[in-house]
Amino acid sequence: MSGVTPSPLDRFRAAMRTNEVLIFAQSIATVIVVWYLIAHGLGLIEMISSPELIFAEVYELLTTGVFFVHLVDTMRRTLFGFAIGVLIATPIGIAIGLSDFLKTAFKDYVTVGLALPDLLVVVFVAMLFGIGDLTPAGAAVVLAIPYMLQTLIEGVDDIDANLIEMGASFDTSRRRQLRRVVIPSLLPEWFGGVRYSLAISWKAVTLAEVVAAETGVGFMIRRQMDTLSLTGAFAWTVLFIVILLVIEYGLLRQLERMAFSWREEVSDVVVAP
Amino acid sequence: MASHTHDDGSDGPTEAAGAIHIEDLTKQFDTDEGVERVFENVDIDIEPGSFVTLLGRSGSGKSTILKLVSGVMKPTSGDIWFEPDNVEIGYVFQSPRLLPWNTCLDNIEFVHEHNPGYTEEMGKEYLDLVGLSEHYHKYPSQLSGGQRQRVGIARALSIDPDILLMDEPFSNLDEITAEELRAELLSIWQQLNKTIFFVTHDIDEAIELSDRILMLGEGQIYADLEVTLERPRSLDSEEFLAFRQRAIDTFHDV
Repeated sequence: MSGVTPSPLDRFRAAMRTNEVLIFAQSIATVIVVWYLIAHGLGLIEMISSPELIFAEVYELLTTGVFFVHLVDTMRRTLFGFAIGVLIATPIGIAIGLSDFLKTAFKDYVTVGLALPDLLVVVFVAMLFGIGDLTPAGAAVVLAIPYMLQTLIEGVDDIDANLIEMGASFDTSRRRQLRRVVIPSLLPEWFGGVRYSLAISWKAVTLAEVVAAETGVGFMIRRQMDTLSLTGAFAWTVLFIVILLVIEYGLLRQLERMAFSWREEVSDVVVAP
Repeated sequence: MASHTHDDGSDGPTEAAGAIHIEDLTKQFDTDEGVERVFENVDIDIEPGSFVTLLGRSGSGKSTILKLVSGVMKPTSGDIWFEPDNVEIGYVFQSPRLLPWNTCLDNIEFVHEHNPGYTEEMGKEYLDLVGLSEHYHKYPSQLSGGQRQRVGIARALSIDPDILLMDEPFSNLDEITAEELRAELLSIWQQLNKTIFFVTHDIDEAIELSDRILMLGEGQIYADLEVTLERPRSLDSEEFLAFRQRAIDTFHDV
């Protein structure tokens, strides 16, 4: 069999069309270039804050360490609220999913929880706890729980009843069924719920910091807005988004890939006849 | 729970076989439209070591009878008992029902909760028996449909059952793979001398495999045919075709 070996340039072109990271990098680069051209072409460098101004501000925030001081506060509140939310929602979600009675009794509470406006929750929690760590963390708990519950209830519904029946036909105990069938069945949904709840928690905490906090990324974004510093607000936002993406792709996706390697095998292996 | 160790102390399959007795068995379900009776007053006796097939159309209640025999479903009335009393029952399902997050070996280990003597070597022995020596550590998603069903058969055999219940195990496979597996099943059955209670809607499959064919329809066992053809059975032989015609005529009588 003969074939033509692609040149490095051909391989690079192919990668630019297919590699997820490179495609994402191209889209970011395009946005920055268009933004730069509009700012400079229309003479709006100060009004829409040209990219180089934002990069300079980002550089200063990083080199002075100010960003990290506030990021630590935001992360602490987010992780605290998120962890409490997941710990509360996991057993309750499974219990509701397994019981028709509980599902009928509580499904509307979950629907209402999902529909609650974030700002409404933040204001209520702020009225309860005032300014401090508890308000952002509490808002994260309240807003993350309904999403986690919804995911788990649907996850329990999707458990393959045939696997449960198979276990029963081989006389396996309820404990073994729970450990070897129910929990592994639920894990992908649980993990999806965790990722989504973490995203909700970040949003809830930064919003609460805008309303009722004296530190944190949300508080600093509000301060930039108070002083009409668009460049400052953009710089804080950009840095925060970068941190979220690092956590999503650098940590959560990797954990998910490791936890569900049995799924990944499907695409990696040619199935035997 | 039956032991998985021979009298001489060696591990591996024994030649134990159990008898099944079903008397006056009735099953009905409550539905929105009222009571739906699947079958009533069914009597079946299955000799130890025999290969008996329950043949019927879809929805006739064949699989329900297997579920009742396995104990995962309770009868509305009637009795099911076994000889000896404490038989071990293996179940092979229409779809293999493997745990997708477990390897072939772990899927076999799953059904050995009550067998402290179970070892990985025993699991490998049964995978070898069904021709999966190269696939111990593969996940179900990495196997073909036929290979997955082999794991299902190995899992059922691994508990060294006195009785093997098989619910249309080859109906989801292509004909070539199904024929291959039928031949292997017969070889394993002759080797291990298990009682097999098999369910199918395929007349040829029933004749090829069984000692006896019970026909289920209209909520009753309406025919009990002894298959006297010599093994191995060729689907093209005159004897096979003649028996097939007789079975079809009986089948269509209902």
